[in-house]
Amino acid sequence: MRRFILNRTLLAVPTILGVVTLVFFLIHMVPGDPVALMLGDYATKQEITQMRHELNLDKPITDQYLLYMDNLFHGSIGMSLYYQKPVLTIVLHRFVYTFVLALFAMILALLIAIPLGVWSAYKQGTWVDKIIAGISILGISLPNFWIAVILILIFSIKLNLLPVAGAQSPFSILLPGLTLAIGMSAITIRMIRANMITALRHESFTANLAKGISMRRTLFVHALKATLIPVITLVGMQFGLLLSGAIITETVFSWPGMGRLLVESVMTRDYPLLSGTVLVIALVYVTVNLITDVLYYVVEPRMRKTL
Amino acid sequence: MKRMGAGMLLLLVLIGAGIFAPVLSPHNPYRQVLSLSFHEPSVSSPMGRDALGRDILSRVLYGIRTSMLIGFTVVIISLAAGVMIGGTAGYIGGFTDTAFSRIIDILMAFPGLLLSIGIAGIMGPSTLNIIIALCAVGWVGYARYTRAMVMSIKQRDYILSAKAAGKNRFAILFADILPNIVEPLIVEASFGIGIAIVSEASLAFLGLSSPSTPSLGRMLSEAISVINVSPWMALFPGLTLTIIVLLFNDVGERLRKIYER
Repeated sequence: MRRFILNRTLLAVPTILGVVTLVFFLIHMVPGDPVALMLGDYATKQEITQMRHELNLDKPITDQYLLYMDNLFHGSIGMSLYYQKPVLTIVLHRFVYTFVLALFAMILALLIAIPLGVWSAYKQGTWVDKIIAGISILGISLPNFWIAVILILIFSIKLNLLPVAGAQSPFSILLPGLTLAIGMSAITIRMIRANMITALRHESFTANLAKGISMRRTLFVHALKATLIPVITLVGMQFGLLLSGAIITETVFSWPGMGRLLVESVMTRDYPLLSGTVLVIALVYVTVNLITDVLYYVVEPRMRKTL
Repeated sequence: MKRMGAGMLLLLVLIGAGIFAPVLSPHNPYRQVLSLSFHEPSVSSPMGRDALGRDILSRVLYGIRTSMLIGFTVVIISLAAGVMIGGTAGYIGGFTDTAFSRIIDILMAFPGLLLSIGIAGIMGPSTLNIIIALCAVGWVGYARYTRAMVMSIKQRDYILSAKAAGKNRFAILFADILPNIVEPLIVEASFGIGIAIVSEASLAFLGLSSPSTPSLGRMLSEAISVINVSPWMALFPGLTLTIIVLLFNDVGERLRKIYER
C-alpha cells in the first residue's frame, strides 16, 4: 500500500519537472520583446531595461532557468505586474473560489446522475431509457458557453430569478454550478447506467428482492454499491478538470476563480501571472489525478495485482 | 453513403455554406450600419443585426467558414504529426520511444484547453496563432493512439517476415503497418474536427482570435453583455456552433459503426 503510493508519487516527478520546464519556456514564446509588450507604448528605454533586469531576462537562458527553478524550490513563482503581489498569493486566493464551485458542481452532477442513471438502467430499453440517453448525448455535445447562454436566457432574463455575474450573492454559484454540472452529469449517467445493467443481471439482485428487501433499497444501496468503483475514477478525473479552473464558465459568469484569473492575465499581458497560473493549474490537475489513482487502489483490492 | 444518414448530408451543406459564404451572404459581413444596431430579425436580415449594425446571418456564414477552415487545418496537421511521431516511436522503440512517451506524458498533464490558452495568450490574437496553439496540443492524442496500435501490429507474423526479408523499416511502417489503422484514425479525426471547432470557438470567446475575422465564438462573447437587449445575437451563432459539433460527433459515431462491422 505505502509502496504503491510512493511509486506513483515518484512516477509523477519527471512529469512535474517537464511541466515546470515547459511553462518556463512559455514566456520566451512571446513574439518580439515581452517587456516592451507588457509595459505598453509609453514606456521609456530605462523602464524597459529595469524591468528586463527585474525579470532576469537580461541573463543567459541557462541562468534564467536555474534561477527560476531555485525560486520555485523556495515557493516563489514570480510577481504579478498588474497586482504587484506574489503570483502564488493571488492564485491561492482564487483557488478557494474554484474549489467551492467545483465541489458544488460535482455534488449537483451526482444528484442528477445517480437517480437518472439507476432509473434508466432499471427501465432499460423502454422510452424512459431512450429519453435519458438522448438527454445525456446532448449534454455531452453541448459546448459549455452555449449551456451558459441558455441558462442565462432562461433564469436571468426570462424568469429574472438568478444573478448572472460575480460572486456577491450566495445564489451566484447556481448558474455556473449548473452549467458545469450538466456536462459532467451527462457522462456520469452513461457510466452508471452501463455498470448498473451488469449489477442488475447479477443473481444477488434477485436474491435481495427474494429476501424481502424493498426495490428502492435493493437498487440504490445494494446494486449501486457495485457500480461505485468505476464511477469514482470518472468522477475523480472530472473533478480534476473542474478544479483546474473551468476557464470558460468562470469567465462567462465572472466567477473570481483561477480560470478567470488566467483570462485576466492574458488581457492585461501580465506574463508572470499568466505562466504562474498555468503552472499552478497543471500541478493541481496532476495531483488530483494522482489522488484518484490512489483512491481507486484503496477501494478496489482486485486492482492491486495488476497495477 | 446511405448508412451515413441525414447527418452527413447536413454537414456537407454546412461545409458548402462555409466555402460559398462570400456568394451566399446577403450583406457584407464587415459593413457597419450604426442606424441598424441591435435591429431584431427581419426579412432583409433574418438573424438580426449586432451592436455595430452588422448583418448576423452574413457573419454566421463567414463564422462557419472560419470554424471549418481552422477545424480541418488543425486536424490535418495534428494527424500528420501525431501519426509520424507516434508511429516512429512505437515502431523503433527503445530510447526514441521513451523520450517521446515522456513528452506525451508532460503534454497530457495540462488539462483541456489550458496549454492552448497559455500559448495563444502569449503569442497574441490571430488565426495563425490559434492554429499553432491547437496543433501544439492536438497531435498528442493521435500520437498516443498510433503508437499503441503500431506496437501491437509490429509483432504480427507478416511484419516479422517482411523484416526477415530485409525490407527497410520505414517502408514496413508506412506500407505494411499504417494502412491497418487508417479507418480508426478517420473516426478519431472526425471527432477531432468537432473538438478543434469548439476549442477555436472557446479561444475566440476569450478574445484570443483576430478581431477582424468573423468567428462564432467571438460573436457569442460580444453577445453576452447585451443578451437582455438582443438575445438573437447569442442564439444564432451558438445554435450554429452546437449543430456543427453535433454533426461531426454523429458522423464519427456512424463511421465507427460501419468500420466495426
